[in-house]
Amino acid sequence: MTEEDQLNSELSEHERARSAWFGLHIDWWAVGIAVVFAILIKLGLNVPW
Amino acid sequence: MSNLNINKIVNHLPGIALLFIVGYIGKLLEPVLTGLTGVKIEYVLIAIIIGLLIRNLIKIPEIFNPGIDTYELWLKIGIVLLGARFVLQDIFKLGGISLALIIGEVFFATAIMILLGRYFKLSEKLTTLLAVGSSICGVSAIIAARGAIGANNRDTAYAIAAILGLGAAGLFIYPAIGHALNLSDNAAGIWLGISVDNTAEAVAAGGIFSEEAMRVSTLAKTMRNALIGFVVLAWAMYYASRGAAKEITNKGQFLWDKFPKFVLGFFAFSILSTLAVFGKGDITSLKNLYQWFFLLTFAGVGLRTSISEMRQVGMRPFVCGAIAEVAVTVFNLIIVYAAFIYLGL
Repeated sequence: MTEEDQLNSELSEHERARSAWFGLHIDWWAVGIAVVFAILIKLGLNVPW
Repeated sequence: MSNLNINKIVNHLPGIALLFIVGYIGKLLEPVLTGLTGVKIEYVLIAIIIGLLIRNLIKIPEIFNPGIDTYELWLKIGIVLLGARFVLQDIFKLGGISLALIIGEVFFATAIMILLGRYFKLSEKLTTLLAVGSSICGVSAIIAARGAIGANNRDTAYAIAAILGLGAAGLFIYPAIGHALNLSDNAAGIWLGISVDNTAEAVAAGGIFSEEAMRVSTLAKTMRNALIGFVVLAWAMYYASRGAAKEITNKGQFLWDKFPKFVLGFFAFSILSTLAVFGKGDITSLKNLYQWFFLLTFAGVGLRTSISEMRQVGMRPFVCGAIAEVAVTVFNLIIVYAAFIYLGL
């Protein structure tokens, strides 16, 4: 693998981590999952630390 | 759900399990190391160091990488949940102060990086990427700016590696400086939030200082993230005016596309908290929950920080970035210290 290939591969790794998962952007997944947990907590879920 | 999607989920599990194990060991070791040393050592620091050691001392099998990449998802869920620990009055006060300081920091960071970029003879676009990364939002801003200003892959990869390397160094150095200067939790949180470039590192640096500083550094960094679109748009328009990038035709759409949407979730949770939707017990559970998510994030910060990758950056971009970072951090410290004295942060 050339240095250029390696740089491109590292870059695409960064971009992959930020791209859509199953058609939805990671930011919306974060908001959705947080809302689900907030609802569960309102329904009585107790989260210990 | 198709087999493809199930496989995709399964592929992430080993790495997520590794994040949990590393983070949980950090949590278990916190009281042990604190007891042994007599100094409070936050689980944040322990989890990051364990992750760093694993990444740099052994070759992590490829099977773990997709799950390790999820650290950013856990970070963003944690930030959204953390919004519940701010009522809007806090956001207006601390967020407003942060925003004013951030605007000063953006101009200073951009100016110093351009001057140093010229001195070190870096390409103009690499200098721009470093300026965007150090003034606003680390890797996310660099990725956002890359397409908008038409930077090449090599410059982008260099800028990312330099910003990550400098962020990793700041993570260990800045909280110690904050303690040495006896900064309050609020002042340290704002300083770390506006000085540490990548979001995960900014939250972690706050966490290394104190739990309260982590809350404030997350707010300050979130305000900084919210400006990403404006800064990238300004650079895109500059390069387009010189024919070196595509013209932005719909600026409103551009700003919306670049806006980090999890910030909306953070504000929504703060509004719910202000409306007293969450009781005291709910807030405790939400706090515990975001700490669990941050636990995975901090393990991920260590596990993805490769010292050998940092070495590939080359000395000139790294030294240029490092000098600018030090200058910006000192500038930020002065303005936060002034706010600390005059506004009683």
